[in-house]
Amino acid sequence: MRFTIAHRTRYRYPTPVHESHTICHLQPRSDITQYCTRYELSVSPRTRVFSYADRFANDVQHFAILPEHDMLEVVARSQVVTARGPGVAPQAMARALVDDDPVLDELYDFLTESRYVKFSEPLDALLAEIGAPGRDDDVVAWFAHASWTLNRQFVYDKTTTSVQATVEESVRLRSGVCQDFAHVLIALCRRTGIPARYVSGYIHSGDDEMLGAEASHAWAEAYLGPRGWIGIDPTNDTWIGDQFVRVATGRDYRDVSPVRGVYTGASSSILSVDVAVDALSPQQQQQEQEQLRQQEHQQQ
Amino acid sequence: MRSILDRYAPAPAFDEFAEADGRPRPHYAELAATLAGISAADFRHRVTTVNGVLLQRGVTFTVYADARGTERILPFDLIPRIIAASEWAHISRGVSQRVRALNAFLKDVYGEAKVLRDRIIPRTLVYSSEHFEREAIGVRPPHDTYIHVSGIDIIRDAHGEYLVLEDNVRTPSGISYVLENRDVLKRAFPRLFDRYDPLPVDDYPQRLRNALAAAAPPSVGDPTIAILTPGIYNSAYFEHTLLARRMGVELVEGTDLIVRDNIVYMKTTRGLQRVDVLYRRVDDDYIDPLYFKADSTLGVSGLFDAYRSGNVTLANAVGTGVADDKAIYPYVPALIRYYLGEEPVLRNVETFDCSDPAQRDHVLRNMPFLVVKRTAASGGYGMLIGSHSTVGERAEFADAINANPRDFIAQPIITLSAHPTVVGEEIAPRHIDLRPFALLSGDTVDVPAVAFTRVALREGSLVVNSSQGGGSKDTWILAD
Repeated sequence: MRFTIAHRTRYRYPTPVHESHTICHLQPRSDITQYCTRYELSVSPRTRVFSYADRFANDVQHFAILPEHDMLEVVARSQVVTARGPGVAPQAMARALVDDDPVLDELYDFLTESRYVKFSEPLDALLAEIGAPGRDDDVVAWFAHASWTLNRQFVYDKTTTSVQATVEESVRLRSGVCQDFAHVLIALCRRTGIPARYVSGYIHSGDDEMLGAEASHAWAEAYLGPRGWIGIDPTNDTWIGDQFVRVATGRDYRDVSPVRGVYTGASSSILSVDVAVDALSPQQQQQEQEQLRQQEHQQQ
Repeated sequence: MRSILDRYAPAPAFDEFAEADGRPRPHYAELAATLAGISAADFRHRVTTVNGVLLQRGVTFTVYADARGTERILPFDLIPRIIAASEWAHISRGVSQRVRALNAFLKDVYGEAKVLRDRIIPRTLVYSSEHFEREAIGVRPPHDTYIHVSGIDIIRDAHGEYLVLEDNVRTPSGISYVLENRDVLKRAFPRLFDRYDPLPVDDYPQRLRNALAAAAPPSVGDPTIAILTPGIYNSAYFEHTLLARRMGVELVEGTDLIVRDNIVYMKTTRGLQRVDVLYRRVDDDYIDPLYFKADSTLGVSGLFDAYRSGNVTLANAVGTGVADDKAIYPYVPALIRYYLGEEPVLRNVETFDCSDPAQRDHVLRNMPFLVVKRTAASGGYGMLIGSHSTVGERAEFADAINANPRDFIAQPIITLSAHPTVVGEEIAPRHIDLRPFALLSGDTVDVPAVAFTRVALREGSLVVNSSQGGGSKDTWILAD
């Protein structure tokens, strides 16, 4: 599928701030399952934008605005082609193949606690309820079952948790937003020794009503040995398919938060975020391809 | 005339000054003769004078967790420690080797991580280190230099063998005392000083400056260097001011700097001036609120971006603390063999790693005979000396070890060498250690003849840290 994405983040400061430094994880990834064909970041007030690849191979932009300002607007526009097909379960596989994978040693950070993914008694209770997978158990089925359990037991509620919600809180409250669903699923995986990471991105709702489509979305990926990193969205209880756009991966939200920064001045800010993910219709895709063909023709 | 040395009885330890039969060692003979010729009254007079000078100069050491107020003079002992040329050659060879290996380790662990894939050191130990900075992974500092300045703590065991007790490769301090102690001691014993003619220490600031200039980003011709201090409340603030003055560079705080387009500038009265090298005495966690502790007011927003882009040298580089984590320490001899293909010149003290179940067991069963240390702590804090501990203290430590084994190591209690030290009206043996400093630029390690000798002033005490009631001595390193 082809998507056009516009992600606008705006901060308003009641009193002017200065020396603000901001980093953004907004550029969709390019890998074998999706390709970012266009990406543009505009910042207001105008400033120079710098880019680097972080240790998770995310493309990160950062910039500074030194003079006084009372507003900061960051707009990321991108076009992405996804080519992973519909989300379907990978082939069944014994957990032993994860445990015996020689790469496991290099995945330390995805097997241990991180800032937002902490272990706790409520988490252990939930894990006991779901049941930890044994060596001969199908780890793919377990991962799906864990996602399904969260989806069924947890309420998607934007009012109960803050951005800083811990896994323990989410489990106790049995509610949260996509970020919390992802953190809990990641914590369950890590607690039972299966490497798991956080993915931030977008979901295109299409004809099915998908939760999380109106803003940045988040889900989890587990490292399933020879199957590689496999994504599942516990908020919608679905395997990651063509309607998902991956932007950044990390240990948890902290590594990939779309926009974060520091500044000198005012103690508060008013944040507004708008995300629009539009799929190109078959007709539009055809038109675009026609245009491309004509361009090629002209070049010849 | 009764001499203050008359009643000196060597300690039940390796005595730096006296042979087993009580006679002074050859390189201490002159000192012994001088002391024998000084009356108690004269000596007392010199002690008073020296302490007055130090107080006047403001040589103070801030002790955290001290209820009596923060500033305190670091006790200075008038009897110099003397190191023979051949011994110093051995020490500096060992220090240089160690620093080269630790730098290679840092370059590797933040780069290809071969040492982890080759299983020379467990990944778990490195990744669980409080000072392993993930932000530094894949970021190459100019010239691949991480440890521009280090202080390696060395002790002598009962046989007189020099052993490395710990590495300090973050922001080691102590150099200001070396410089000040020398100035003062020269005045107290001018003739003795001339006769020994030890290697100078006052060229240290220039040598440090040279090392920092050589560490500048390759594109910079005549680098601007500044010292970044956490400010007046830092225990080593005196040292920061002294080094800035003697090196002829600016002393700045975080608020004096600004990062624009990935370049670091100092705010001066004539506008912004670009900074190429920051000798920063601010810990990693505080250098940039954007990437590290967000509430830090000591650092500079965007500094890490400038560093990542290669536009500024941070000395020391970000993330060096993983190399002096006490849980990594037992592996340093293996790192020397792995990276340099050499045998260690200076041996480690035998160390038990509590994260290993068998070793932990040994530690828990033998606590009265061991020193237990927290792996992330320094400055003599968070440690238990088994022989000087109560049953209750040992039980507390055992619980803590069982709860977080990775956070503890243990070592046999080593009776540090002893040295004549002024105690009241007399001279008596007190335990000492040695901190030589090393300056690394490129592949070259400069080990200036400046070493900080700390002395445990309490009788029988083995803790020399200034924060734990230690004092200092001038250290005379002899030329060939």
